Amino acid sequence: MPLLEVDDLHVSYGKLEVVRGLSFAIEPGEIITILGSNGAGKTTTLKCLAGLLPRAKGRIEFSGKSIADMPAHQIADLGLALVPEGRQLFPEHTVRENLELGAYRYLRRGWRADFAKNLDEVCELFPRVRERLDQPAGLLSGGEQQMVAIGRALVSRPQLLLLDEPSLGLAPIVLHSIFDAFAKLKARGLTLLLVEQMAWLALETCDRAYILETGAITLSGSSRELKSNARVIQAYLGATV
Amino acid sequence: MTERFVPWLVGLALAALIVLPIFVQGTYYRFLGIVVFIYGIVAVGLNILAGYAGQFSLGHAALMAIGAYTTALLTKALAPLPFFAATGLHIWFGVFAGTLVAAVFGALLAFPALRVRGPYLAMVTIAFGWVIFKILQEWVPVTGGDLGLSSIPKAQLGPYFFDTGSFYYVVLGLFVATLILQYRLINSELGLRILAIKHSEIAVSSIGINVYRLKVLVFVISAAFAGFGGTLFAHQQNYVSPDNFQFFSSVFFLLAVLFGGAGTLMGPVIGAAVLTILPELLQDFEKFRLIIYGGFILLTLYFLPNGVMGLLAARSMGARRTAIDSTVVDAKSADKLATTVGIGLQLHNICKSFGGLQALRDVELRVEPGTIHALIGPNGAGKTTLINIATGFYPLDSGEIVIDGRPVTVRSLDDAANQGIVRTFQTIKLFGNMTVLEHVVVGCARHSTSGYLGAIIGRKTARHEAARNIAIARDIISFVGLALYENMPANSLAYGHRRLLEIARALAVRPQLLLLDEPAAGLVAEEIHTLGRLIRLLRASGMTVLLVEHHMELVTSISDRVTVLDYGVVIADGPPAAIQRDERVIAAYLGNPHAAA
Repeated sequence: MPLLEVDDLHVSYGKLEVVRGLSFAIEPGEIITILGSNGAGKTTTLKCLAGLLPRAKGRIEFSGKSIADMPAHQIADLGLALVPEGRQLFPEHTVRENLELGAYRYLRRGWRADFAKNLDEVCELFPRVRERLDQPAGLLSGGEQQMVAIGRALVSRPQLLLLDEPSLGLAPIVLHSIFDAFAKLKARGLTLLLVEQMAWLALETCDRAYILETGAITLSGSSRELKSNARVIQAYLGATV
Repeated sequence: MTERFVPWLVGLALAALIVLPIFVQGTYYRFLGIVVFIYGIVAVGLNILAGYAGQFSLGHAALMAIGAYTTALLTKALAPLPFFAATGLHIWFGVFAGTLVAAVFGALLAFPALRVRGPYLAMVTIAFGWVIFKILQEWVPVTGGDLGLSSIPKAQLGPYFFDTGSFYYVVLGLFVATLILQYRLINSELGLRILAIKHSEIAVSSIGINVYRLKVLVFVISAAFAGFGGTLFAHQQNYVSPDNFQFFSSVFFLLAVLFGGAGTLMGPVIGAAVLTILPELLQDFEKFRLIIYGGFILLTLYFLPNGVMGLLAARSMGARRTAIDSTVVDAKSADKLATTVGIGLQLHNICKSFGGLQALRDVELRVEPGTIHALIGPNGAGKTTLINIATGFYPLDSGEIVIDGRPVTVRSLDDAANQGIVRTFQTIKLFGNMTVLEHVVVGCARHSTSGYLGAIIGRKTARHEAARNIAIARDIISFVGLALYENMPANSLAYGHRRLLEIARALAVRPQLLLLDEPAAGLVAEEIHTLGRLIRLLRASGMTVLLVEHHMELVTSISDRVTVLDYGVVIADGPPAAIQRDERVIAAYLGNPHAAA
């Protein structure tokens, strides 16, 4: 059974339909990438999956349960975590406080030991985060902030991690440590859905990918297939500038 | 759909306001009408300030009082003179003077607004209102204290004295004129600036507009409306006392704006009308009257958080987008872009610390005119800090900025823009729900010569200039490839398109040096390719481009020279090919060679 199944999803802003009949599925343990140009509807899709935007029409099932129309906090409680575009940390809170907020779903029941364990795992994945735990998140560099944003989602113990452009504004040298982490997370059994503009990096990392154009899937396949597809090379991989 | 009916509705309402009084007995309803119009005028003034410019004031009753007392004192003094008694000119002179004095006080009230915002500004305006109220109470020889001023002359034109019945039509006419003025103002280029300032003062400043002056101007305009309303109030009532201008009156005006719909043309009018007439209708409820009144307001704002007009506005916001396509540079519109003479920029020995942290140490940057110069480095290396210094956003600790061979000081973002340096922002700063076209027109408007007044009274040259600015804005928009999105609100654009819009807005200012902070972030390969072409076309037009970017493929393919910053120090500087091979750059920034591919 797929972990996430989306069928004929439509999402609109007022009269403007941005997602128009989107269907795809993710099996447990996969890393999936959605590629698409600006305005194709990638961020809108992720926001809708996380419950931040209402659907106009369509079916969304997460572990066999319909999550369409469910409020965002309940979806997060079920184990679907979003790392939003542009990181969206709480800049005046320390890194530790940001992470504690990520763990709200069980910390409110007082499960501090679980938090300590999950925090440890995040710090193992991103050693830089450990060094910064007591600094305000707003003072961190872009790469460190992205690590904290991913960490904030991870400490909630999700089954499925949605990542909206984790590479945004990051120096090349940091990109690798971020994307290496995705492979490690997969090895731990986590499922990842990645929206990414750095297509070659994303295709290196993922198992399968979907091409999203004007709100619907126009092409899908294994990352190897897509890497050799002429249209994908031209539009997303960019052989030469 | 609803938009088409608006002119008809307004026309119908106006006709009703002209004709209905003829059939109504007694002066009560005319009197009520006059009060609604006067409150409407004050609310329109507050709407320009709070609704459009986003500066909340809870002191407008005091500004109204200043208008009322000014005309009361002046007309009472002038009335005995035979000339004025015969012509009635003292009334209209008093109205003019009251408006003017209130405007001057508006400028005073603007000063705190230059430093504080939101609830803090509201607090300051409350204090202002309270001080004025106290002065009116205590300065007995002039203001008459708690008893106020009575026997203020009635409105008069020549030998004719207006009674409530005829003054109704005078105030109706002035009220309609006020609405037209508001409409003209908001639809002028000044109006666009006022709208923009609500969303991002930094971005307004970056396109070369002095935010301080603009804010003072908005306060002056808003205060003039309030004062004008006050003068009419004085001549209608023939009696003013501090009680007319208490704190609650200020709350009433803000409530009227919010109830009707802040930042809509008709909202303040609807708000003022409903909130004035409703208590009259509720008189049968006696002691429950105010409870019902309060409950009604509460429920309306709960169900219509954007006010009555906000409901209509949300419905009519249609999207005119026909197709969604990847961005395309329109080379034809590139031809229409004016050629510029690029300026050179040199930064010498720049040092900057924040607290104990030295962000930049003896940084040297030399950008030659008419070239594309890239500034790269790890996150947190100080690139943005350096840009902020070059554009006057931060003062420098030591060092020198040289533009075209002359040492200069750059005091602020708008100062930088006026010296030819315009920037985009890494964390995108756009004007909320203003459309793509409006964003670029605001940038173009910096070059307008016809002035604010010309636009408001609708002078021909101003209209031509506005039309020309729109044409230029359209060219720039198609140049960056956003032509399909021209009428979209900026906040509904995809991330990468917002970046392109920032570039378009900056180009509208006609920079000689364009400073791009991570323009490729959020773009896919094809779009980056297009962006590269766009930046090259800008260089071909003569412009200097300083580019902060992480996308190495873009950097190496278009830059003439690259400077690398690490921990606030320049670690390499040279042509892109040499930079790519530089050991220190690979270690600090590029990482494994694959990253540079």
